[in-house]
Amino acid sequence: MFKGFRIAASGMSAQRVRLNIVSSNLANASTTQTEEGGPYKRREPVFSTTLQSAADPNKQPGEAALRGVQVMDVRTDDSEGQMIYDPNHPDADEEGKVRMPNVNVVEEMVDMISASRSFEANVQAFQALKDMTNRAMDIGR
Amino acid sequence: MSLINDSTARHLEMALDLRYQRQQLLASNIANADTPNYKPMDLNFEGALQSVERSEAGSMGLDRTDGTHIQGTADSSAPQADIVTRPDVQNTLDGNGVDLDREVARFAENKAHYEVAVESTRRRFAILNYVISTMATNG
Repeated sequence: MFKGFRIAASGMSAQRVRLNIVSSNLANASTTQTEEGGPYKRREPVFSTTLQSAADPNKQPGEAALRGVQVMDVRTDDSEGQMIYDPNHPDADEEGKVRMPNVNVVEEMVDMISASRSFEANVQAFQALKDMTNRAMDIGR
Repeated sequence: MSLINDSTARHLEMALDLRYQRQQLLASNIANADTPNYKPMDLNFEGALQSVERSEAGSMGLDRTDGTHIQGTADSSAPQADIVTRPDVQNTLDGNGVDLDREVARFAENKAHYEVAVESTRRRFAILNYVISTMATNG
């Protein structure tokens, strides 16, 4: 009965992770030095459906099809960032060029809006399920 | 005749069950709106309706082969509706078929249907209450 709540919550949690990753990418859009060396590489979350737990004796018909979502992995995008000409930059090579992170700020903003809309949809789902459960408790009144 | 457990009550119970089940499926679709290769699911309501009609035809009462048998109504089993992968999936690069706008719209619609069923159930009980209280004052 309450599995829907957990699913909506898993959606909220996954989208929040995605938003955190977008923040990290945006914050490091011009970071040229990292612990691993070289410019910052953008990260991206990989979503997957959650596996079903072992047979639940209280399982209702149809519940087996329900799937939550989880962040399975955070992948690093290894594509090369663009080279810009900036001879005064501390990381400039002999030709005065600097390798920048492979973060595209516009793409990240789009991803951010998409994540925040998906988050809101999950909040709505949670809210609606809560309303329905509350309404069901009105039956006996 | 059973006043409490008649076919109306069973229909309402079924409607509540199936609507709630569908709401959870739609929540699952919304949660997986960005999961690669996820295909949205839904309940086959038409099939469920047909199975209800079939069981209506067959289970109005248990067969009595002898006059001494007690009369009973067949136990209506849990409502069955097939879970189907939605056919009108949009093809995206990551293989995900969820259209979030439509999914949220279906969600709102299904919630309204559920509330209709709740209200009908509530009023049915209100009628029973009225009958009982009238009997108490007049009897």
